[in-house]
Amino acid sequence: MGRSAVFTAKQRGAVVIAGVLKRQIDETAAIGADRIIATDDQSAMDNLPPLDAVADAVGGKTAETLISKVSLVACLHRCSEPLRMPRSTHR
Amino acid sequence: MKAIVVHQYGGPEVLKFEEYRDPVAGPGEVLIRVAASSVNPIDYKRRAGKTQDFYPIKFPGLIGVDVAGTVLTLGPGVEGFRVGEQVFAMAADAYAELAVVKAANLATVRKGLDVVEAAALPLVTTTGNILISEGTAIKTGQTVLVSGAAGAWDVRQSSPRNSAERS
Repeated sequence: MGRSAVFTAKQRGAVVIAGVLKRQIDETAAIGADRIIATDDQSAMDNLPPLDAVADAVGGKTAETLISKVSLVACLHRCSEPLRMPRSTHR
Repeated sequence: MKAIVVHQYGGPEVLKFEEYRDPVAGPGEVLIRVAASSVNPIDYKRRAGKTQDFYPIKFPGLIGVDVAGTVLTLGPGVEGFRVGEQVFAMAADAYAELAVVKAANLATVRKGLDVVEAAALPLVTTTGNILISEGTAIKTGQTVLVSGAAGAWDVRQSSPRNSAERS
């Protein structure tokens, strides 16, 4: 989900910061974000640039930290699946 | 066809591999021979009866929303797809040998993408798309931080709570 969120945000012309764990930084290099930040690196989190929005695909403590950094937070992790699910086509 | 049929809400034991009526492609729909489906949280929540208010199962019924496979027949009015083509979509009743999908929701499996791996994509990429386009409504030039940007693999690892939610 996070990777497709990065993709969509880039398609919309946004500047995209990928928030990942320290050990994921190398594998994240290829997903097309403008910048990568380790959300488990306190100094990196303390020095975040100004953000217009946070798209949180994780929840929990990281989300709480990010909520304090920005006015608009979109949280759509596993607790809230999209409600417009396809209906059965069996008749 | 064979399918994973659900006769009542409950744990994994209510999933029964058995005969089920073949679906038929109506207007604007495509019949697919399923190569693969994938398991999403919505599937086990639905099977357990936790989504009855907004996404019930009509028994005996099927679950599964991600599907990839080969086009078998085109319903009336369908254009842009051909029989034998590999496709994938977010659909309904995907835990089955055959599935009917709205052509409007269908995408071609491009060269270089394995049809089985394609079945892992629809719901999760749609969700990521909605998170940005509707959740943040981010515009050109604005800055957005995507947490969990490396993908679901670590969502699982970073949330022990998730395993308790599965049953």
